[in-house]
Amino acid sequence: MTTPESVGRAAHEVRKLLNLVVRQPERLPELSLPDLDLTLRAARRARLLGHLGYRLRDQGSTNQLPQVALDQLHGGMAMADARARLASWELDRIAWAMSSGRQVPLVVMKGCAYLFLRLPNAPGRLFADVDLMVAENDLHYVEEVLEDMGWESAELTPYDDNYYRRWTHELPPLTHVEREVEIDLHHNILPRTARLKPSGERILAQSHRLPDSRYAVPCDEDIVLHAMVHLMFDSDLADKLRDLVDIADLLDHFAGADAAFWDRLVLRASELDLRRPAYYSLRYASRLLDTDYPERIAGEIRRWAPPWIVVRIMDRLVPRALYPQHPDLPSRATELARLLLYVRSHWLRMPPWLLAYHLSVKFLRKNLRLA
Amino acid sequence: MESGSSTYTSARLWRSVDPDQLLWNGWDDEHVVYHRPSGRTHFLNAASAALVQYFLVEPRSTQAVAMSFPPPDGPADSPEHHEEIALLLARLEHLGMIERI
Amino acid sequence: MTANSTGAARVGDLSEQHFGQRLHDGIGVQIGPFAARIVVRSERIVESLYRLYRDYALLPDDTVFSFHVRLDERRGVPGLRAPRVRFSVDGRAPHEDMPAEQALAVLEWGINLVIALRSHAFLMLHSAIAEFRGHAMLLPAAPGAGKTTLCAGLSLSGWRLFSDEFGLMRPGTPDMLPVPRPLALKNESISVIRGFSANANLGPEIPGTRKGTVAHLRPPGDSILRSEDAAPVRWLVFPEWRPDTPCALIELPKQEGFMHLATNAFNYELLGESGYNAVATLIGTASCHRFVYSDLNEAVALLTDFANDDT
Repeated sequence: MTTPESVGRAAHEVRKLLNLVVRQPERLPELSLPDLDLTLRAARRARLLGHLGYRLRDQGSTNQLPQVALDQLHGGMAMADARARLASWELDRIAWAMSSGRQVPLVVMKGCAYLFLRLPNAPGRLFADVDLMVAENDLHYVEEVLEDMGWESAELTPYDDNYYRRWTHELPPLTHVEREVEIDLHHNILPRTARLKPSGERILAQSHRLPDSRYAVPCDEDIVLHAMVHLMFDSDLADKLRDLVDIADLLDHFAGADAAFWDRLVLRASELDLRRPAYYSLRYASRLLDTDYPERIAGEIRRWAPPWIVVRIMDRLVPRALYPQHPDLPSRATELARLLLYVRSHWLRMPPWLLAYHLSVKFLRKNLRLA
Repeated sequence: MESGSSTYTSARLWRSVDPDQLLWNGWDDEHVVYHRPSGRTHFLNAASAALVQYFLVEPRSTQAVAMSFPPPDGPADSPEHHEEIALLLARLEHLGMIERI
Repeated sequence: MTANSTGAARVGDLSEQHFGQRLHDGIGVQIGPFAARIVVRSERIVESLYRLYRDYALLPDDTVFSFHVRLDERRGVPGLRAPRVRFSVDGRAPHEDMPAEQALAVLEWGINLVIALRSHAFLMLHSAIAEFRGHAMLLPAAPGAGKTTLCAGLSLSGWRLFSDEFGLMRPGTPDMLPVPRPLALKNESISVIRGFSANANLGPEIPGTRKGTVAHLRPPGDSILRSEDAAPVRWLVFPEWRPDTPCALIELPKQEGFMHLATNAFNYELLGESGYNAVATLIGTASCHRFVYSDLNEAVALLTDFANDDT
């Protein structure tokens, strides 16, 4: 029956299987049927089904799988395709809405940038919202134009609305009345209150317009750094293996095309005050997903580390959070690790006094509703 | 948005989007069209379908559309008909089936 | 590996006691194209499940499953808290715990929910389906239009039951796939079906659910034994139950049929172009009708005569 040992073994098994198929998807058909079953369940939780489906299809190794396994991969691919289609159409309509009037720069971020640049991690990637970055001075202009053209601001409580506008780096999400996709308009990649202070202007300054498009994309380094800061400094890491896979795929792609990419990345991480998230991302991408970075930058990256005790703690917590739990044998230690990282993510996003206030409002609201 | 755009569309020309973006099926003069970029399905009557499928392959003005698609009862050059056509064109533009050039 | 020859072991081959033990530990059953793994830790529904699932083929433990679902009963405290059941999928509960008396309905709806949320390798129309002489009749409708009752009536009258809920097909292929499941009859339909046929094998009546009183009808054994036999669609019949109205089958414009089918589907929009092409092919090849009825006997007789003349 369930013992601490069996729970530990189960967690280890999930990690081992996911690592194998993320690095070598072509080996999925080699798995025993129970292992294949567990892998698909874990991949679904990690939002990696579509990703695996596309990888396998590219390698032509799908026909060796049982039909039920194929059906699940196809389902994951269809879901990811549908989300990508909705996001692309939303961007098309935003470009249309913004086609007259002031030509303010609109920079697509994250999933939308991967999609526009046809980056290798885009196919099968399940993404949630449309992320757009504009200059802080243009934020209200863009919001006004979109609201005139049928988009509506999310209805928030006055506390939340004020919280967004005053303390974060984005507006409350906008949604068109006839569609469901949420648009997040940012002027930076981290909240105003965050510990780290990257410069939104610098990211915009290095962005470049796509040919035949209303949109720009950030430079390659900034695309990677944004993924890194988003995972390591703006999330609780729970079930976020997919985000680390993004980072590994992006590094592989950009550095594979040009080895000097590593040097530019190191330089840019310093310029944008993003050394620490870059340190953690490279650490876990290399430890968990075998990402290789050259010796010549290793020394520099080591200097970005926090005190060793923090590294030791993070080494214990991060993998536990990133990988999904075994669906039948969840571990309490993992729940605790996730709770700690959840608190950390808030700690990184806001100063202590604001954190205390924010959590107390959330707490009161939750408990008043229950009462 | 639609009433706002219709005021100055008279001077503009309309054109159907790339035919590759649309898939068509029709039964008894009723048409079901799939719009690839949005993934949406639209139901069009014979006149709207003819407008998108054939008439606006060449760029035309709102005026030209109004004159070529007269109302079943009444003159083609009435302001009411013109306004109705302008609204229809704005709606088709909103759905991504035609564009202004 | 999803293939079950008709000689495969079935739930009914186990003793009820053994079945109960297997449910507790996890049992694999084939439901149409889906391999389900079900864990039930609530003694109160073992007997009903044994009856309703009698004809389903058993799957070995080393199978790739389409989904893993689980139902746990949490004991109550007398005078304080009534016992409740929790439905979960891969360890997560999609909704709050429900009263334990509703355990069977919660499990059955839960399985439908997980099929609807996941199975995007298929086009899933919201439709009952029954087959007559190798041709499938789709009965697409929103909940409350009487499609389950009608489909139950047909399946007790010589038609082969495909599903009372899912019109399932693989985009790019013309045939509907059977997903025979226990039919959840609601309220008045329960006595209608009891009165309709002495062969109706019904589970217990469960009052007080979110849809009123529910009782499950066991799918005919033949429809489960033949659940790998797909069939092309010949008729699209949109049913509407209207009290005190004589039965009538009225031709429906194809464009309207398309609209009803697409807007009532579970994942038509999600599948994009392949969904559109699949529905366009269906509409193009099948005949399209609206069907108004109030009396089940009359309705089944009319549809059977119609199908008889049209094959």
